[in-house]
Amino acid sequence: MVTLTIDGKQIIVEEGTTILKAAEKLGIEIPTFCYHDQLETVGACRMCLVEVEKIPKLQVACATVVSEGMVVRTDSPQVVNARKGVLEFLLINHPLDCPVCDKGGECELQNLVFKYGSDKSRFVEGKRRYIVDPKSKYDDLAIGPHIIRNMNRCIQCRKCVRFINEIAGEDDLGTFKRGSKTEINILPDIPIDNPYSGNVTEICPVGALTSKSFRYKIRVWQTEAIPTVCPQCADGCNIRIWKKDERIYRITSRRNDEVDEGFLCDKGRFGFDFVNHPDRLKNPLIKKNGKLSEAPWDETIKFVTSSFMKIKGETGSDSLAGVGSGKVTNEDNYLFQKFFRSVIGTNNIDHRVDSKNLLPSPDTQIRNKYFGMKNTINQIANSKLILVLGCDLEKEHPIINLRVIKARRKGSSILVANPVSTRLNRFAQNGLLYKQRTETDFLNGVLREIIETKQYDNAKSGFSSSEIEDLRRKVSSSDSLKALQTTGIGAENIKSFVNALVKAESIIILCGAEIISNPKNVEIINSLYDLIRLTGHQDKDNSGVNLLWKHSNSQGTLDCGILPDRLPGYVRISGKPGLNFNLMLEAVNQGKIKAMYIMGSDPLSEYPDREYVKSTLGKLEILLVQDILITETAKIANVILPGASFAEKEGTFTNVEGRVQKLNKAFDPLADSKADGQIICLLAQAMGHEFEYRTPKDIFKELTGVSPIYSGMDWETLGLSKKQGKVK
Amino acid sequence: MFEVFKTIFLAIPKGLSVTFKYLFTKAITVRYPEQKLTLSPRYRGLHYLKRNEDGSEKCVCCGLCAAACPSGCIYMEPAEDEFGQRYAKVYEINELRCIFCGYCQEACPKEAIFLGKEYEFSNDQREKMIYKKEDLLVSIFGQRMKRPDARTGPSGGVRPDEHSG
Repeated sequence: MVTLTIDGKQIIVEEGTTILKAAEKLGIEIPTFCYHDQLETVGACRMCLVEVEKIPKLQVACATVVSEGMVVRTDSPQVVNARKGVLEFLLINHPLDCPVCDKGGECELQNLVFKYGSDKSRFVEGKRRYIVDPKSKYDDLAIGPHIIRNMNRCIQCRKCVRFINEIAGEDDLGTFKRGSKTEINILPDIPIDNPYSGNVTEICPVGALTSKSFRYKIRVWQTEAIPTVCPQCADGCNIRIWKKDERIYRITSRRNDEVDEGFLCDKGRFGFDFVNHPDRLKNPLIKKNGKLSEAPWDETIKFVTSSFMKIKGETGSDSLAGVGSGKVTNEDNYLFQKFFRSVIGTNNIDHRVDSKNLLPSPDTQIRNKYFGMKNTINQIANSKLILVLGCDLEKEHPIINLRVIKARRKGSSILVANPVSTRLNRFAQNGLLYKQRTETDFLNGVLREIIETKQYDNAKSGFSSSEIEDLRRKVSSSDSLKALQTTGIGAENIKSFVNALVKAESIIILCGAEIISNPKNVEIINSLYDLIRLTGHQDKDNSGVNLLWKHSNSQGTLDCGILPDRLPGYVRISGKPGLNFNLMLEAVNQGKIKAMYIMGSDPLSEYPDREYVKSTLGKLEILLVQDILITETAKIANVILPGASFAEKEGTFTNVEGRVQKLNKAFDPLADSKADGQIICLLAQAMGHEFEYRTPKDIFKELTGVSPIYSGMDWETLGLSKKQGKVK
Repeated sequence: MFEVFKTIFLAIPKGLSVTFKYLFTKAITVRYPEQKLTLSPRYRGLHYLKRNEDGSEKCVCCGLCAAACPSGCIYMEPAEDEFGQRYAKVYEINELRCIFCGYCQEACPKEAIFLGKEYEFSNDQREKMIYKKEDLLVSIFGQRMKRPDARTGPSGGVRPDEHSG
């Protein structure tokens, strides 16, 4: 530990800390341009110069390591003068076109010049221009589908290039030429289109890199930033919605080091068009004479409830079924299952419409194999070996992909096994391609190699010798030997794969949608657990098998009991469990189910057998679809209820690692649409039940009381503190 | 009784004496609208938007006038033209709400918006008092482009910085 004084205040910090970090702890702000704590320090901008006693020259705070008894001044006249000088040099070539620059109002250069700079320029010479088109006065250049570059404004901090190289692990942005001619550019005719390119617009301290979608739309001070959670994938990145009136203008990151580390993927950053899309459902629709026509809410509610009551009265409550979704909030899902269990009186509820092969439901007490993630997202970066199996991580979970790249940067090995080559393979020590549906054979081959070569850890694995013998017999049978041939992976590859596995100090296995919806999903997951045990990692912190769900709230939907055999919190149902989605379809075909209520799901697009679903759902007497857009399923529905998008409602999402995070409402639901929870309340009230919830907060409160895994969570502090909201 | 007397015979002639004194001096009022006063050179009347010498609009829709406006009467929407230049797709000033403080003119970094000397633009319809960009823009020679309302409103061809009334 080192003691030092900054601006007269004493602080004790760890050895190796920089002055900038120490000042940050004291709450003293030192201005920077090129510094970013996730990137390597370069000390290029000289903005963070501070005075250190006994050193004649000013030192850069971002790169100077503290030493015992150091006395630092960040506000002496010399420092202020230096800042003024650095800014004057930067402004020699900065065009000062703030009126047209999209960064205006949140520009670091603008703020610092306002604070420290001079209001007069001493330079009369012309400013440097990077001419893109000699005929044009403007030097804007689109360097990718999302990014526009204006090199005149650039102050050469190179944060963008460093981000692309270090964090995203790409090389499609670089620095060309030298000195005052330095240019940030792409390679000729290779636009920057990696899934993290949008981050450079947020990282850029000036307006040199701006986003196309936000270009000349609005000034930032006219908008309002609403903190919420990204709805695109299960990673649950924290975002800010920048809105004015009822329109989203852009989305930026709201840094949460436990989840996203301040980065977003382009899908999350630019994929918000659906909220203000003209095709959004605005009114309830009822099918009359084969045509969907608009109807008022009270008439629609009356029609739905009377037909539900009629079907319930005629053939019993089990002739109704509900399909929830991983895209709506926990509160909506909780109300949905409550509506079906208490108002209708059936357990026919499911949300897994994208697969014919369902995993067994987990239990409350035992966090069993089919639960989700065993590790946290942060632990991925600390693991020594990461095995990605059946998952295109960059497309499915871009932010988890960044952690894998981070682990690679720290020196971990990456193993990838997929039916098709993914972009993560370029980092993989071993990138294997197996033939589709041969995952089990491949894993058996790996297990056999470990057992046969006696590379397993007998003491730590906890396997008895008879268990090992059973496993050996299973994986070494002639069938499995023959099957290994069909995987398309050679014995040599398996050997090097196993070598890497047994040497690693910790193993994290990430499985994607390919594994979760696999016909042999249970078998594969069991093999993976055997693998973890054989290598002796089953009780380690940074090791485990992780299933990565697809939708933003898939984990929460499971937690809230949208399962035919579990109540919220995975409490077992005492009586007979209901039907899952596959059985529901069979029951519809047998005429046992007459009405279905689909909230937020689109089985027609998601289910593997589209024609079968289409013909089956067509047989229903009542198909009620609640969604925000006319989905494929909504097109064949009898009644459509317009729901609200993620920006239009409050609620909570549970991300893939079980972190419960709060969504905030940016504006009211569009036109005559209503929040999903409100619609369910209206239906329940029309059927004579008391669903009196004023806000989603009331629903969440009830949920924390009912669900053992959500108990103790507090709505007010949810998502504020780091620890809270994590499912145990 | 004496008090009443005092009011009638002393206070009334005293007050009227002022009236009679001005009755025989030169009239202060003018016969508006036939006759008009000369305005102060710093008079702030109806806004106008200037053009560059090449005919393009000076305004780049930076939003500083709207940010400076204390009454919030300026509304604008930026957009990108075919040259990639930022311009004001929508630029509206609600002249009913405007207090003619001139802060917009002061805030403008492009010297695009000015307050002219026109003050005769009353109207009997509220929506006509919301001046669109076309109503505010002047030609390269500084003349009003359009005459939105024949009877009132800014008249085409006049120079808003010189013309008074």
